[in-house]
Amino acid sequence: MNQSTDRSSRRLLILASIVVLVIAILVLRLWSLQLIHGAEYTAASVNNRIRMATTAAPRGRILDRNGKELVTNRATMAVMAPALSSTDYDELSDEKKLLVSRLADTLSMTREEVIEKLTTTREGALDLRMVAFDVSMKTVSYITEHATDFPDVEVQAKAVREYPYGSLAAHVLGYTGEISDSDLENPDFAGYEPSDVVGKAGAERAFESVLQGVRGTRTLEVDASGKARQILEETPAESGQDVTLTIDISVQKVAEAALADACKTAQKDGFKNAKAGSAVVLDVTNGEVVAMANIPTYAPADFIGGIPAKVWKQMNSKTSNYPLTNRATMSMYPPASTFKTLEALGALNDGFITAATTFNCSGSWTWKDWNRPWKCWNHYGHGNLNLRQAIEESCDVYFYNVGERFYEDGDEKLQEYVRSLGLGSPTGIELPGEASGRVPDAAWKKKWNEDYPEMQQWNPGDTINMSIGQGDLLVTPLQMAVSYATIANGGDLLTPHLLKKVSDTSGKTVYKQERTLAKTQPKASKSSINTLKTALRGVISEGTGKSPFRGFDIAVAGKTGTAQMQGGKQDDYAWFVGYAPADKPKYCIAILIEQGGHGGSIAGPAARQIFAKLFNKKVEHVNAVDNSF
Amino acid sequence: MSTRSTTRSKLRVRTGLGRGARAVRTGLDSKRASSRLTLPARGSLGKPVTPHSTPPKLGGTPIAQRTTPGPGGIAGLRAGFERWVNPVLVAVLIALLVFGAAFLRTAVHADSSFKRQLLGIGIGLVGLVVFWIWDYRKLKDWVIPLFILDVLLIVSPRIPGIGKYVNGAWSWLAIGNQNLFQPSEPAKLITILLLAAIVANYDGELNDWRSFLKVVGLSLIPFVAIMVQPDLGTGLVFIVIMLAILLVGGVRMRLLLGLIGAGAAAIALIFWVNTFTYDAEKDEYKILKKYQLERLTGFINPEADTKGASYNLKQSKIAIGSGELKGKGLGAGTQSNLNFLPERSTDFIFSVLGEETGFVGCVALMALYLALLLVALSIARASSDLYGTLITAGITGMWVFQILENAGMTMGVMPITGIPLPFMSYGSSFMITNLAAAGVLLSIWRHRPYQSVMKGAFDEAAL
Repeated sequence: MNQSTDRSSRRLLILASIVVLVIAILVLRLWSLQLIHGAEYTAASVNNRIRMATTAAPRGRILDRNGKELVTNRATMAVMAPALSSTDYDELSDEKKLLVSRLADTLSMTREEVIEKLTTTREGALDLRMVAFDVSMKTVSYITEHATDFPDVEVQAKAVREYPYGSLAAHVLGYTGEISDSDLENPDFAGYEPSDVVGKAGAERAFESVLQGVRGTRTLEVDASGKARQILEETPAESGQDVTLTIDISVQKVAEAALADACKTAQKDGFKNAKAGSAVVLDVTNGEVVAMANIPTYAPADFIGGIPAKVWKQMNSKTSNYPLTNRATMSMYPPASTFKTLEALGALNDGFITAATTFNCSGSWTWKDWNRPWKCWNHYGHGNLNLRQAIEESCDVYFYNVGERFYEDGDEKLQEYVRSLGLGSPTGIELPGEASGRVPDAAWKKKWNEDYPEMQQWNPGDTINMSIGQGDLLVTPLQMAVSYATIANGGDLLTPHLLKKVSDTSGKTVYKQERTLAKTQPKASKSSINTLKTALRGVISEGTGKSPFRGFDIAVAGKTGTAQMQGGKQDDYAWFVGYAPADKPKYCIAILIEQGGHGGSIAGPAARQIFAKLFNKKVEHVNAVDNSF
Repeated sequence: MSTRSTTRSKLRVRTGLGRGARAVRTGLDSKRASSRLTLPARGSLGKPVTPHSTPPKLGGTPIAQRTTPGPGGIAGLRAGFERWVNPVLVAVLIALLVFGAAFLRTAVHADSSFKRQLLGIGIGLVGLVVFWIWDYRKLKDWVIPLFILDVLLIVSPRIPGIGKYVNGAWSWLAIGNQNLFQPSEPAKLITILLLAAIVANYDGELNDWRSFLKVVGLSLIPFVAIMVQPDLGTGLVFIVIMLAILLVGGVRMRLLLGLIGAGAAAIALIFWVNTFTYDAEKDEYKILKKYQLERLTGFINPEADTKGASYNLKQSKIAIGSGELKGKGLGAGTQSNLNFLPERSTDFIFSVLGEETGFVGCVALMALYLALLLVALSIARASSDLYGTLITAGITGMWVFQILENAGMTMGVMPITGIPLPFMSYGSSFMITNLAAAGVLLSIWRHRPYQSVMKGAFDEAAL
């Protein structure tokens, strides 16, 4: 063998070493990947293929006090499509333009409507949006048969809320929608996921934790494209619990009709802007809200699948009179003469007057030697009046005198007392967004006029204005109902409530709402309460409230009011607050008609209709007159 | 001069060690080996490296029967068997084919693909037998025809009508929609036969740089042709084949290292020049395409983007790693069944193997490969001529590089290129080529100096 072939065989050894080295490197790498880091890669491979998905739980129903279904669920076929990146059709890609046009044609919608539905906010960017629901089977099969024409479009069976009574009690019931980003951060919504349907307003929101069921979970095996291949494990969803409300839907219906009727009457009487109002019916014995009506109203069903931005904007505009607002708890008004009852109770309680205290009404009243008089609504004057007569006639001068005594005392006892009747703070009803109202005092005025030092002083005029329920005093209709209910039931300030009971899917009651007293109770002697009860009955039998209840079988006690708004720039707001039966009170009603004119002529007849329904009498429209304030 | 002598002495030390070890095992010292006549010496060199190449039962056979090969009879059959069959190679091949086909059956889900692979094995076995029977030494004189055939094969996909552009390269011959085969695969084997013939002509005396450059220059022609397609992966295989043949062909070490150095410099230059060829309009480079660069950077920094080029690598590593010791079971790989792994029957079949058979299965395959490569090298030693040795070196180089590149790429130790795994990946052109290469190895084995081996064996037994 020569030198060169010997070199070749030596070189073969180098090659053999390389071979061994290569195999060694690969085996070492295998060792590292599979034996040292195997567990990590196993975790990664599990992570790759396992997805946890949740299934929506049916939401609990909402029932009225007699078990009538107010809100229930309904299965529907919904067309879902991926969200769009732009609300402008021209900015969409050609494929998306085509998809939008096809969806519009197929679903008989305009392109704009489709785009609106596909650009609703929230949810993940990849999530499907509901374009339309209640889609016909014909449309469903068209879409599924032409799947390639509708990329990523899905037809899903969805459970949506159904409202058998339409818009009735809309403000009480509220509506549902996809959970908002801010709610997701709210600790009340811990455990919720984006795209969960939650209560947005009213009882839906108030009893969210009860109505919302427990989501079912599904462990899915997915492939690289994210498509589910099989279900590995499944826990079924737990349906939400049913909520029974204290609302009586038949009374609610009458209340809403009464408000509409009152507005119609007011408009006929020349109050062209009478378009909105509110009525609250309380059971004075236990604080149950039997009806809570507002006009204008809305249809909760409009919110299914997300409300288009345009509609939402319209619902929140002044021209629409804010139909989403639950005026009974959210809107604040001067209580006007209905306040006199509460003030009188305070004056009796604090000893400023007795039932026998009389003042002379000459039609106007002057503070000390001031030259500008305050007028009584009755410019001719009521003459000498005791407390009962003053309330019956709603005499302003009598209460200017009472106000003077409160002012002279200097301790703001008027404010303190009406606060103890629940004014100036939320009543504590379950509904979200309840307003506090406002009981003005010196400290409040100073703060309110922070930037106007000359207006910070609490003046006698502030107390005098307040003494007839005007000035800076503001209340909600519900607060008035609650305060009058306190008188009606003999002095117990109750926390009004909408919840009667919660029952599980088998119908078993799991929670029953009991009568709840407010944390602080007003001081009121039996005799002063009885004095006022007599006076309030007198209002209806003899005084300013006589006209609407003429010939009514039930003994009603109450007070009318006519509030001046914005210094007379708007028409007067009509109030009625009262209860019946006068001798053994059961129900208390507070009614307000915005720009409806006088309480006795507009609000009173509405109350009569509701009382009629409550006591199974004939519900009828009566014409009434009232000139008082 | 002193440096040179140091290098030499180092080499001597290293090779001396190897030879010493061999001398101990064979009972022959290097002087005896080199003083012998060519044929017996080669025989004795070849034999010890494959101590198990002769089945143990043969050791007990009466010598008279073995030394008197006659026509017919059991003794004749045995003698014929020993001359023709390298039992280790054949056993390893059978194991690889069965292992590969059985595994592919679970990895590919289409029956038609599996049938095509079986057809590839069938044709490959025919090719193997043809090369086995044929005397490879005849090829040595066919340098020019081989050269022409080689280049023609490589550029054939460019021929309009029969060529096909697949995955960014002119790589397929096709009739209509029917892909026939990838000519670059047989071109690998032809390149080996060609380069081995060129280098063998120097009879291990490739010492001067003039001859060296001439050989390298000729070797680079097929390489350049494949790079024009452009097929970087196959190009790299060609380079490795060339280096393996030059190494064993006796090129002086400094020339070889110089070539490697120059190659590295050229690659650096290409990268550098590439940055100047950026075409902003097409958002593409002219020399190294973006996807090629991405694969390279993906290998270096796999966490950079998970959905792009390195997504494949990440999923492959998860597949292999999650196989752990015993694997998830045949056909039970979630990474492959749920499509997380790309190209699971071709480029990433090793990942499927890792996932489904675990460390045990992968190491078993590595053991088979190690046996295949070492038995190939033993055949190189047993070869009756330098040509056979060099062919074997080229084939070994081709295989070892493809194994390293393919398995390495799936585990993140090599950049991702489209190189398949010998005897495992789906691909009939590839399978046929590898089986034909094995046929050439068997031919080299068959033409080894057989008689002397028998004598040597007898002598050793007597000692």
